Amino acid sequence: MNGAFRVFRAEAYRLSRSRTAWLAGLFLAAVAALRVLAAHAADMSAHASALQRALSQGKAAPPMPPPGNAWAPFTDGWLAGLTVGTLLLLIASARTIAADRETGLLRLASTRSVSRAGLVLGRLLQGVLLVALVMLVTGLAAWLAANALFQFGPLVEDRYEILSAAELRTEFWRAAGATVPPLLATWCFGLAVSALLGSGIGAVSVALATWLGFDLFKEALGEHQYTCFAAFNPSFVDHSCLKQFAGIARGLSDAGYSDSLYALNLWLPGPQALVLLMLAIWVTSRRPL
Amino acid sequence: MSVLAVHSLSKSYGATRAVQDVSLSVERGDVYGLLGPNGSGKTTTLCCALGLLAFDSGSIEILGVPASAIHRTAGRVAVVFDGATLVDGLTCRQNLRYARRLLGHDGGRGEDEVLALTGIAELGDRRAGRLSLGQRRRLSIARALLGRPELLVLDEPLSGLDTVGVRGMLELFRKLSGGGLTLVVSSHRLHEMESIVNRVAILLGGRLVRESSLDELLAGRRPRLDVSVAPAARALALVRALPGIERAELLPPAGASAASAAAAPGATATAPPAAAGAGATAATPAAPADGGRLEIWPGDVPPAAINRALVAGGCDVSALSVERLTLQSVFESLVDQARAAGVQVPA
Repeated sequence: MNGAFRVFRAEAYRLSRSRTAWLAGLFLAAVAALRVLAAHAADMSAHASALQRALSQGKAAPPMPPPGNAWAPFTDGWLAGLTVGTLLLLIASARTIAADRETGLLRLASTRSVSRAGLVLGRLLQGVLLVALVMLVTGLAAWLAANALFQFGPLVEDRYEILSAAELRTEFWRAAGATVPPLLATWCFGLAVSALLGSGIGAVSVALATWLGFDLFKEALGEHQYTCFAAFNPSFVDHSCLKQFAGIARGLSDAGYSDSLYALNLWLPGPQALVLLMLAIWVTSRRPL
Repeated sequence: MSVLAVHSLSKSYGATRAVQDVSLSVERGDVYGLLGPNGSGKTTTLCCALGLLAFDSGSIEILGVPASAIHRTAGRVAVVFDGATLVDGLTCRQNLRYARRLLGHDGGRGEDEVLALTGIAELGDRRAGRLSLGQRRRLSIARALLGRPELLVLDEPLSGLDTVGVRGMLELFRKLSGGGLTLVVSSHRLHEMESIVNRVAILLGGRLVRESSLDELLAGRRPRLDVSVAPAARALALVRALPGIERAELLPPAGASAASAAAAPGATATAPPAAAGAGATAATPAAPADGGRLEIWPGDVPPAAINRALVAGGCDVSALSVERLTLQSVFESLVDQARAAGVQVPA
């Protein structure tokens, strides 16, 4: 395990000195913030239309509406950042072992006191860090933008409070927590592909193709899609728990996971991630470095 | 105890036998040359020895642990591979810090020390992607020297370097060896390797054809004389008549085709004595009427005695040079022997 921590420390250092990593972080933050901005622009556009309609009918101009509830745009912004972030995580994980094997960096680590299992486990720790960073950066950017343009408060419809701010907060954290296991499993999927394939470019291509293919065709699987951790991830065809929360925050009555689906979201990705991780370790232990 | 001990190593890639029954032993303080042409199994042997490649049979111990558990040597083994494995986006110093974190040990040589030792102290803040090949090689070695390595393994460290780069690299190896580091260097550049190694293993076609100290390898292989003399035929007879002379040949006159030279019995001008057998010169080549060049393996007869005999016999010696046998010539001899024994050696 000592070797895994050394790999983690070295990779974290490499990441911190990488301009690409910093640019990727900025890009993710921008995506999340821009999505919130787009929601605000849509609200403004709706108000402008109402204003134009009233003026053309000779009516008094409607008053500027108060800022809308921030929960939905905030969640949408975060989801947009996480969707792109998931793809970047997948690219990074698929590249890490294969590209380092290509350049010989795995040899360096292996001959200088890191076991082969440590090479993979160190990258798993790196994945935990990156998942946390992606969630933090996108979440923070979306929250800052939403807080500036909207107002966090209870869900009210026709002056009737459907959900209090505290209840929304509880639901939100529940959904945010459910986003972590599939993201970690995604990282492990990338590691497994990376261990299996000989080149960095090949590994990234295969991982992305598989990922996007599943995303496109998962609808056809119906309920069976939930037997794979990837169904719970923020994605372009999004069925994630966080996406359901965005529906709840908008007052959609049919939004939200059932308890059984939520449990599946929490507990299915773990074992699948473990299988993928063991596969990555097994392959790395047997392949020439 | 050997720093690196390889016993009966065999490794195949499918039907191709890359390494066959190779045994070698590197002692502490050695500068050990693993020599052979491209494709002779040097890198495969090293990869097996470093636990990077599984092998079919045999056993390998490196610093007392099996090769597959090389990570237990805890940074005492350092490796520099042919392709310099650097992170191009990081500066030289950052590359070293990255490696330092992987190594996980405090103490020993630090970044500044290894940069200075390898002669690239002024490049510390330059990105690795902007270094020349020679500078990249030096940075790789600097990285390998971090901490307290006891064994430094270098795979083809001279390939791709220009003359100045090679000279600098050899000086660096001498300096490292002088500092007590054990070096294992694989290379096909025999001339350069001869100036730094003290022990050699020669691999041909995946087989070990010789392992010994350099002194042992060159000992017993006597120097060869090249004499320009007239009349050549009389000189040849005089030399052959001298007691103790191993062998003397008349080189074909300039312009003679290689085919005719090879066809002339005993006129194997480029064949060293080990290949042809000492004293095996019964036939007399068709000698030119006047001057010519003699190739003489003098045995124990001093060059001055040969010169005196020729002059006393009425010959006009215009030039006499002693050609010392080198690692290159011994290697060529071993290649000939291996080919004769049926070993596949690339041309």
